[in-house]
Amino acid sequence: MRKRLFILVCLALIANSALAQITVSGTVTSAEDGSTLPGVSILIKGETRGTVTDLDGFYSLGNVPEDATLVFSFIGMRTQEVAVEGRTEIDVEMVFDVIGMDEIVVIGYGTARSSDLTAPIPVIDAADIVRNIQTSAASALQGTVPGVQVINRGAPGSAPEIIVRGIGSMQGAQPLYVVDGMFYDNINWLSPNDIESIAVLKDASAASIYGVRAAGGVIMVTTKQGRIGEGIIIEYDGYTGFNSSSNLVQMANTEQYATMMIEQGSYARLEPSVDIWGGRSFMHEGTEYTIPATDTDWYDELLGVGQVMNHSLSFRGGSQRTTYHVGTSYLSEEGLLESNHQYERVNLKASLDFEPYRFLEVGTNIVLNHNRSRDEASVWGSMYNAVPTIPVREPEGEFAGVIQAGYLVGPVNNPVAQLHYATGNFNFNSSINLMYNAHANVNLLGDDRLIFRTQFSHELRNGRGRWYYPEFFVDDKLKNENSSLNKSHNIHSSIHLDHTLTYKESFGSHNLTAMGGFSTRRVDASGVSGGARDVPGEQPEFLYFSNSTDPSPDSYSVGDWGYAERGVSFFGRMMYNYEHRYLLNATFRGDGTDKYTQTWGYFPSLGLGWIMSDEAFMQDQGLFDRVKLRASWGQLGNNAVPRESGTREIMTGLPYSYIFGNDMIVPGYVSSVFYNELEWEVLEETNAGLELSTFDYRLFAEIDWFYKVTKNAAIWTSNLMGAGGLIRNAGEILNTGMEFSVTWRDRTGDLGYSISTNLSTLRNEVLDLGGEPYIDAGSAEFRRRSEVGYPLYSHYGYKVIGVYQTWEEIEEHLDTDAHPQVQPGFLKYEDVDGNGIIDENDRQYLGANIPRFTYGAQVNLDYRNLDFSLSVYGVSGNKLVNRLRGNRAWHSDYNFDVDLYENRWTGEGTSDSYPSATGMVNSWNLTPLSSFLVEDGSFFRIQNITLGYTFDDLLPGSEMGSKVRVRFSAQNPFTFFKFNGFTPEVTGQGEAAGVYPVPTSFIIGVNITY
Amino acid sequence: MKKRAISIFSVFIMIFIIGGCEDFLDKSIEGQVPLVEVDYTDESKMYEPVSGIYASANANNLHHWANQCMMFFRSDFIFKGAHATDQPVMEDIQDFKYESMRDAWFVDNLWRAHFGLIRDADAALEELEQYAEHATDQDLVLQYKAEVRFFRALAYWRMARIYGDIPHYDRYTPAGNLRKAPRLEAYGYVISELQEMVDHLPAQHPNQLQNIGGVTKWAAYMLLAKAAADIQEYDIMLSAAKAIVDSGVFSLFSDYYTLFKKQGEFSVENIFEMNHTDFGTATGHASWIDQYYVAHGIKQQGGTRFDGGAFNSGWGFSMPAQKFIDLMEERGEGVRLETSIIYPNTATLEEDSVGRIPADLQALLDRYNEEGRGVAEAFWFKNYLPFNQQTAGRYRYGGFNNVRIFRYAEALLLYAEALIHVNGAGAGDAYINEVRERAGIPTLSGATIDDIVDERAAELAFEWGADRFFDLIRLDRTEELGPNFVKGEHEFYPIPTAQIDLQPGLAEPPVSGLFP
Repeated sequence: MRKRLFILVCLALIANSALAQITVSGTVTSAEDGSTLPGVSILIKGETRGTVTDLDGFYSLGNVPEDATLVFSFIGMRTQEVAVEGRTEIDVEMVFDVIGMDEIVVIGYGTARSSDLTAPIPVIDAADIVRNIQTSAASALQGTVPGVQVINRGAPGSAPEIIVRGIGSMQGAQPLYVVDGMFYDNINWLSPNDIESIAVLKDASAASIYGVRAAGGVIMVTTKQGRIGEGIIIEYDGYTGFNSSSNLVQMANTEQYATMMIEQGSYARLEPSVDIWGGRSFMHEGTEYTIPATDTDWYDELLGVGQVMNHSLSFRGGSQRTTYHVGTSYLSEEGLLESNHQYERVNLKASLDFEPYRFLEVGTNIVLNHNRSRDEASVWGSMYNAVPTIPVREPEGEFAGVIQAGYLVGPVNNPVAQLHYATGNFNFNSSINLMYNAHANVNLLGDDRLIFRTQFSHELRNGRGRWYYPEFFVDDKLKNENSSLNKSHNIHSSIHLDHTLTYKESFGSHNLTAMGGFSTRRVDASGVSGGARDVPGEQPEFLYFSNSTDPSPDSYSVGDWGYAERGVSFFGRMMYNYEHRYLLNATFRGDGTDKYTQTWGYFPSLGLGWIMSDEAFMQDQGLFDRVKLRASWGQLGNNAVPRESGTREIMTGLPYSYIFGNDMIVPGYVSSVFYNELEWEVLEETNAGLELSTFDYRLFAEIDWFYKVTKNAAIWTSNLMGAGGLIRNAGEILNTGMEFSVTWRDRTGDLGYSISTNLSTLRNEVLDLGGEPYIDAGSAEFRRRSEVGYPLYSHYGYKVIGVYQTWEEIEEHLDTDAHPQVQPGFLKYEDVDGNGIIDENDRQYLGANIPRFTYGAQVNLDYRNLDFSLSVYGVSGNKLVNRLRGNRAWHSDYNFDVDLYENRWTGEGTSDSYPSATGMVNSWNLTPLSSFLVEDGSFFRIQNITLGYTFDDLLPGSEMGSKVRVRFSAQNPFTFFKFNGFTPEVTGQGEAAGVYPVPTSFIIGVNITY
Repeated sequence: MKKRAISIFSVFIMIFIIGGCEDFLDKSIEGQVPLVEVDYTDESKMYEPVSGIYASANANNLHHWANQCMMFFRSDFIFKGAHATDQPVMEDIQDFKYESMRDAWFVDNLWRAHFGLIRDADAALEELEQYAEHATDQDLVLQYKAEVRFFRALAYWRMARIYGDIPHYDRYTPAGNLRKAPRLEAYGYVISELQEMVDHLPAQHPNQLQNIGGVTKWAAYMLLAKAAADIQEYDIMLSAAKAIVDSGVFSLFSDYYTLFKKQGEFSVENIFEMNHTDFGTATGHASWIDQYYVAHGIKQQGGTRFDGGAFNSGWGFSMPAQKFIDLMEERGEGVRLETSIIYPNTATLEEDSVGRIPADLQALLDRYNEEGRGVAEAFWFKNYLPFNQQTAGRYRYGGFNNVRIFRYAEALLLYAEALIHVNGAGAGDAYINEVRERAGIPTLSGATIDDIVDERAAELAFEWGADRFFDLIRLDRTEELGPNFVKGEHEFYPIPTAQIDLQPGLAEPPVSGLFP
């Protein structure tokens, strides 16, 4: 009965609103040249009904209330609102968009006009995302958003490291990804073709609506949706091309390697290779030597070209009450090495929205993703280490071992054999993911003033892995005596339930939007894994544990794990403005979690803005079209802090039980007692910004200053003797900097162009460590230290001030009794305390992997049907440790890179920065860390060059006019840097050892819109 | 319409309230049965923390291969072998170039191994304290505590021997406030601890204990005698060594060679050993000794096992000095020399054949000899475990052989030495001769400290204690260590930089009164 009444009321409502309705039609043209504009979207304000213009720019829309307002919008054009006022014919001229004015920006549990914002929220749109040819759409943020540092990883399928406004935590703080309202840890599973836009909440006042997970910034992804009344649009986008490596480190060949060995007095080291594989004569400083005839270039042997391929097909459209977007895509990416390493991703994405009644809108987004990768052994390090005197294969064809040539221990190996055996054809890591949400918007008062929204989101991930390591024998060092098979299976479920109530009202010149909401979060995950030995591996069908030929129960292993997390949050936001000129935004969030003693955390924010150019005193000046000042303050939490560790740990089991008399295991335990009561880290940030538009809105400039302090930072404080540590909320870390961005956009005749540049500065400093003098990271040989007054994780060691040229110089500088091994050609360290002894007191800070500047620029040109774009990116001021070179401290017979060979000290005056061949293997020059190994991590990269040509109406019969665009792109074609490693893009604290380089890709692509 | 809005709004509020229940957040950690409190009233489990400490001594690697390198290479009998380029910093040890040691991982590793054991022992004593409140047999509590305290004393003694002035570890000391104590106070602590605990430990032979190979009174006396010897407290040394000898619990094992093989595990001569076993099975749980043996094992090429299989080589880190061989030959040593070293291209008694010295090692030895160091072309053999005593499928260079920590032969030599110190030359003849007779060399009369030094060198060569260097220091015969050794400077390793970084106070001069 009640239900029927309800429907009746609804029908009455619809009937009521249909009373005074007319049909409006007209033509939309461009103000620039008067040409008609097809595809312009027209919506009735406050409703989701609307239409789009046809090929001639004509539109017609029925059932429009006489007092309605029509909203005309078109990509790249400024959105216009026109009141109908009873007219039946309305023609509209559209002008090119003024940057940063009237875009609708997603701000978390709502949207806002960008001009009403009090925090910087940069947005990048679909074109920039698709142009970037990398697995993760997040890579497209590199260079486009000031204040966001993106460090790409090169392996197929890997996600980039994203640092928003500096590192504020010792526990790591990755950004939170919010895709259509649901939280994720990364967006690798999302096809870039399905993304409409990405917005970055980099400032605490913007991100604080996401509370405890937002300490690393929030990356808001909106996927594509259909538009009301636009008909059916079919789009195909595909490309194919190849990945290759560039900027390789040149390694010494046999002659150069032999030269180093001879000069070190280790000529004998070469003899086994000569004996086994033959030698040849070589003259060095007038003496004849026999050196190995073998001269293997391991890079040549290992590096290949990987194919990349992407196809995506989508349909989208909308009728009066329904919109939809369905996209499918396939991506395949191969690695850079001669192996089977491959990443594949298949996606299906569907968005559907219905407005069955005026007061109700329901919709759903569904993403089904399957990705699969075949991993390989990491040989980037052993490729550098491998010596050229070992052949890949013996004359008989089997892989050559290194033991016979005297390389018994350490990582010198045959990397080709290593790669061959460790990359199984039947290995895979795959996951099938289903992510969906269902939402409903209830328009409670029927006029958009009060909207209740509820959304149920569910993420289901099902992961599987299989690894088979075959039995093989190269030599005693590179072998596997028993084949092993491991499998794992895990499932992850994450459910969010969000409810918000939004109230929007204008009282004269006072405009108010208030939102309150409530959210619960429930994460459950579990997995099982197992293993068996001696399973035959010739075919994938054999790979089952039951086929193990080893009958003993020990040859099997099983394991399982589980994880669960619960969260409850409530939040609210008030946006108020007076005449859109004085702006006030405030948010508040409370987060409850099961993780800590302190269950609840509260995070407020406040923002103020002033559109100065709207003031009377600015009206007469002709210089600026628009000036906006804004300031904000906010707090965020970081729950990346580990779960509270208990008050006491009891370790039991076989490793803690002694065996008496060879056969009696007596149960035992070891207890450790530590106490901690952890709380969330709190991040507090102040931001001030200025936005300027000038030259008739052609030029837009934005400047921001931020000052971000992590309070309560959870840090590992030392226990005595370094026997473990205790995590306490004791630190304070500062990140501060400036961000500048300038965009010039114009169109003259057929030529349209835009140039955007941005630059950000960053200063990172530890403010407090809760009384600890410093906190160390890294190994004793490659020390990184965090100390009050210095950047987090600064490299710490001796500063090289030259190379000793003569014995006299050594005697003058050093106490030679204390340092008897020092010879000319050895590094000269700064003796800070001047006592002639180089010891721990002479160490100093040598920089950190935190760039002082990051910058980027994008140029877009279009001339008739031709388009061109170029983007560049660079960082400077960060320092990296060359671990590949540094590893020689442990095993000095690695190969040398050519730079070390060519620049080595060979006598007085030959080098003041590189040690002699002897020096390179002497402990004096190797350990501990010195600035010889700390290198400049600055680089400048041409990120992307794309040239496209569009054929109009090549395919007949399209309602909207078909477009076929062909493009050629080069991704990362040139990178300029000084660092002596594979790539200057190094994540984490900056120790570069065998980093998978970011590939250079060349592709040809085609895009068809029909 | 307003009503509808209000009703929906109230539903919203309700969800808010229901969902907001704190119960939702009250969730235990997945996969972890809430820690069952240890039942301190269950006396049958009281040994568990003690067994944990024995295991901790293994887990903390008191016999890490690199620790042995640090102990061995300072002596005049052992050189750093392996590849010239493998751990090149270790070459500096033999020349006492300590400045490059400060940052070396192995110096820190040694420190952590011992203080890690001390930390665990302290925690175990707290556990036993809790059991003690309920235990009916308080003597048993004292015995268990004494076993734990033995390991703690062992670790402190080693630290004081190696680093000189050391801190007293107390987990309740605030971070950063730790200071060193003078070496003699550390020794004083070790000695008083041992003197106190001996009465609580069992007096049987360790192979007669229910827990075979456990700590006995005699192990404590042995450590007491060695610690007292280090600081020239000869009366204490004498009474401790006398207690062992007079007890009659131990005797010398007849065959010096097999003493170090499987036959010698838990033998009449062994006062204390660390147990390792693979249970004689090729797979499954095993207590492996890590690289202790293999790192110092025979680094050869072309050898074969008794059954014709390939000889799994060691890494050859320790290479004997010609000086050692000369001394042994001059003394007319038979079995002790044959047990200690083996030459390339020979076969063992068990018919494992040792191949040649690989070219790279040969090059290193050639260089050493050019530098006048006098290294022998022979391998360390004492801890070699014949392949026929290893479990097929687990050839780990004898990694399941027990580590002999204290032997009765050394007790006899300590007793003889103490008697000479106290009563003069010749006073220890009976005991030194007992050792010599087993070795098959003529007896002595009027034995002096010089005889003791040589006898210890011959008897204890290449064993865990690495006593040669310490003997030369404590008995003031440092001229044997060559011209690079400077008295008063090179006795102790520097405290590792990593530890000073953690505890800056360790770089400060020692403070008196820190040890209880």
